Amino acid sequence: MIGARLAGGATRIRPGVKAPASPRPAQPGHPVLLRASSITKIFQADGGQVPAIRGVDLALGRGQFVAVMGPSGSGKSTLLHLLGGLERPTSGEIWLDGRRVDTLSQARWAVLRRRHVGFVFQFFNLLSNMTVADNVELAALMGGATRRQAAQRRDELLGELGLRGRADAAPARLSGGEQQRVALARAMANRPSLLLADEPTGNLDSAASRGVLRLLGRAHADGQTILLVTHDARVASAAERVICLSDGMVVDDALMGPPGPGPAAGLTAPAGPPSALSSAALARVLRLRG
Amino acid sequence: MPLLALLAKEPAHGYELKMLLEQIFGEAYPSPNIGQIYVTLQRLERDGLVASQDVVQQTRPNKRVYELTPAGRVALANWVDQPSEGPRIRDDFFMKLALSPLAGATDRLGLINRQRRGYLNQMRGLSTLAGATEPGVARLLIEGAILHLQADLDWLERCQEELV
Repeated sequence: MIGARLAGGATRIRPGVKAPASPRPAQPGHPVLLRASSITKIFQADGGQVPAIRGVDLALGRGQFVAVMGPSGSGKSTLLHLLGGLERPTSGEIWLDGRRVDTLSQARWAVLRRRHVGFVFQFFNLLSNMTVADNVELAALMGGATRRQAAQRRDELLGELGLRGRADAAPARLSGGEQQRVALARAMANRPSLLLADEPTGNLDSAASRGVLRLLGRAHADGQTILLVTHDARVASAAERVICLSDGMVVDDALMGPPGPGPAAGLTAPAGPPSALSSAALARVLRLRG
Repeated sequence: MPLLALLAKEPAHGYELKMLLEQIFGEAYPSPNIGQIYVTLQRLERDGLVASQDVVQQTRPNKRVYELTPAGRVALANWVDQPSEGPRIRDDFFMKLALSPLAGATDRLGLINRQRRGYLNQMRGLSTLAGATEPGVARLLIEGAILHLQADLDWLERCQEELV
């Protein structure tokens, strides 16, 4: 039974149906940007072995916006670290843009991240001896932007995230929520083709979350591929595909359809831009909640 | 109770009450239809919380105008002063989760997954609506619904950890 649920592509769960031999992209029309085949990660701890990822197959289409959900300890952050080259899988393969990357050295990965992969850490990892503005600008420069482009990108991102007034501050002077937004601005500074983010709204109030969502939505519209780990259902519901992990395995992989209140909605409907709820549907939702 | 609160300021007839509700809540709350409003007003009158009188109109049928009674004011004040009960756990899904094995359905993970997808779809709709609603009571209501939905999803995760 479990084997059937490891299907890499977004499929309806059909117990008893065997998983396909290789992961499929979630949708036709999305060529695969990132592919993980049978990856595992086992940590050594206290003399014992702790499996964090236990056989994940995943194919991420170019331009897809994917959210990963699951209980704490289910392996979400580990999966993200493996896909971003911060950890090496114990077994399995990872391919990015047609190139095998799980075997790359840390130095090669660093180059890859500088140019093509943005990473937002759960604990920000900002450079403490630089201002907020320089943290963002440096990332753009390292990604190959000219000085002028980098400065422009910096202003654009800080403005978008409501951080213009904090540009000259040291990261340590910022609140957790502000640091988180700087980390996002930094990750997006070089317009990475793949953005990986670990709980990008974890410390934010709802207004700041809306800002982050707007930015992610725009990046998605620009064709960037986004994979983020989140507990925040608003963020997850903005994604076109939601993957659920449990115990180091994929237990659900769903394409989200247009919004609707019924549990059946969106199971098989193609992903599309959210449309307005009908007033009858809305009435049902709000009455349930009212 | 909402009708009593609306009548606290000044007497009104049924249609005015409906318009007021729509004006305050907008799309965030499905406004009751005029029939429901009249039925409620009749019940409130029977209970002695409102009183009504017909107002003669020249060119149209008479309209019935309602106002709060002293007992209605007391009931309204009590309602405002009492803390409200929290939302009950919506237990229809939990009943399915708990009882479906009796009906021979053993795929609890499938059940949870379908429910999660449903919740996320609802969240999408609410999120869109929140984005299209001006700040104010209507948006606060939608934000409340969003927070409840988030709690439902967190709880679903707990069910999955515990039962699957």
